[in-house]
Amino acid sequence: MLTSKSPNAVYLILSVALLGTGLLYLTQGAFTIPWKHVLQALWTSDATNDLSQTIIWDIRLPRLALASLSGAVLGLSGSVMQSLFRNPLADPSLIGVTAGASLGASLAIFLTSSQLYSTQSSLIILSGGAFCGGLLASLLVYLLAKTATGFSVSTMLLAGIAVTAFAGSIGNVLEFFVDNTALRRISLWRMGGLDAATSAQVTMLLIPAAGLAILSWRMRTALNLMLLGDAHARFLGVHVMRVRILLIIAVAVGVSTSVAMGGTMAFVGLMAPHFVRLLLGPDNVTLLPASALMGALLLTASDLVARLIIAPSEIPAGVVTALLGVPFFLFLLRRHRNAL
Amino acid sequence: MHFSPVLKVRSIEVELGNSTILNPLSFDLHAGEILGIMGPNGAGKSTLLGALTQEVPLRGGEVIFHDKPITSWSLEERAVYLAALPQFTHLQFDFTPEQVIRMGRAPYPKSHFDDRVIEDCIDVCDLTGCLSRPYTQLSGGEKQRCQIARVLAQLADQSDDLASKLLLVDEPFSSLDIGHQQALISHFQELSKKGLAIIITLHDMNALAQVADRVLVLDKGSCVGLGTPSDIITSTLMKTTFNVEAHISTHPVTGAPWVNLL
Repeated sequence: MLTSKSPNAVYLILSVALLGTGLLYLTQGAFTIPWKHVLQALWTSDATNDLSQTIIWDIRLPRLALASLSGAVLGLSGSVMQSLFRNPLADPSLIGVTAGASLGASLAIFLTSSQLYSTQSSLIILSGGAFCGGLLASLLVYLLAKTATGFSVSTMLLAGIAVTAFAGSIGNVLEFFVDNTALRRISLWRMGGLDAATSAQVTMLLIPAAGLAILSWRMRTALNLMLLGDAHARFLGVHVMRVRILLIIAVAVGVSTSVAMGGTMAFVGLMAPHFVRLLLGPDNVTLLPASALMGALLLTASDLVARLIIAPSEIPAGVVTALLGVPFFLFLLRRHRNAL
Repeated sequence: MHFSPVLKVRSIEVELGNSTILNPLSFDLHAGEILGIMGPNGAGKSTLLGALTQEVPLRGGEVIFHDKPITSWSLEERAVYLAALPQFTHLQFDFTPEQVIRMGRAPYPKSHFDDRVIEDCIDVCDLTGCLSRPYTQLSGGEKQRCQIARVLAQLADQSDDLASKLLLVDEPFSSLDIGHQQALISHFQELSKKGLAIIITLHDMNALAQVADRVLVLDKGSCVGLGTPSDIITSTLMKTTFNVEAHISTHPVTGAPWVNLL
């Protein structure tokens, strides 16, 4: 399938879809707010005691922002990973970043559960733990897969599976030692919860998200050339190892922070770049921005479904993305079975 | 002909683990010269190309590219003067053939010249009929032509003087039919007339004798012959290196040696 679609049209459609989903997200929920009131509330940000205003500004808007920002980070990370590993099946969760970050966050909760911290410091502790776990997992996988002359993609993916399993079992062991409050908080991440999102969490994620976006955009051409092969890319002037290390760190920071703030959202990083490639082809110049938009749209829509399906109660958004992602992954597995 | 060689290779050696892959080897390559490398499987042909481009670490010796050790060239600068095509390319993503060829222009700032180069390379490699299919759906030979077009695009220069540039190609014709092989051999010869220095490995000895000014024969990591095709390609060499009985005649038109297997 050759692509002749205009990238600008795709960006526009994705942005409009994201805005539409966002507006729907703000109106719908356990308490329905007419969209006119939503627009009014958005327009006048001064805090009156109006209930809709409070719901929108204190509950739905931070959560919407966190969902779309997490989705954008995951979509972007997925497309970067798939280029780095020259494998359309790569995903941050496949190389162990998500599992490592999740374990790091759990450990951070466990280690600090006896003390009381302010919201802000506990966020930092959480992100720090997740980042250490995510980066440690990435480095471990990276060192295992590094060879004298280059880099083994298959070893990296297999090592990612091992790290994921290892982090999972450590996490299970940990559950026997934590108290009930910590256990509840830990299990919320593992399922992926965006509830109780705050603007502090959004700010926390904004910095690594911007870092990842800027770095990957600057290296968009290098990412394309690296798809030919490491040697091929070097012959075209790319410092392959430098690009790879910088982007692995940027993805680790972005994904870990997203895990710390909103929990594990499986398969967004796998699905978003694939949908975009169907529309625009594999060129990272268009793939990167469109994957970020698509990831944001996917996670926002998933969270909307998660909030509405058993309202007034809700299911974690990570469950919805997994329900979408697993069949999709199996479909891809079948499609690429000859290349594996 | 330039006086100073484009490439000076000074007793380079390669060792992997404890086994020697390449014994000390030296040669010069001048602008406009085509050096053909031949040898049995596992003789070290690809290792030699890797050693020339820092893809394979050297145990000893030195590679000098334009009077400067190749190690002190920056990758960005080197990409303008040296293009190399490894034997295998595994591109699993659905780029268009044109996007793949355009990757060859990555070392240069974007310009209108790129479009002309890409058009030329599509023409030379006869890819016009493949442009509407994604790279992953091309046949093996079409993919190979697409990769050749990419490295040719990398070397194209607005001045049309290629005397400072070097092309390394490892088995570029392994999947090509005879028509495309012949067309590309003539094109390589044309490029060498514009000054391009080329190092090429080929299994087809008759094609090698036709295209190469000099031939380097590798066997078990050692150079067992370096000279003009008619000096090097002899029935003795065919027997000792490849273990085949052959009668060597002369090509009636080109005058190059012609290997007839017995």
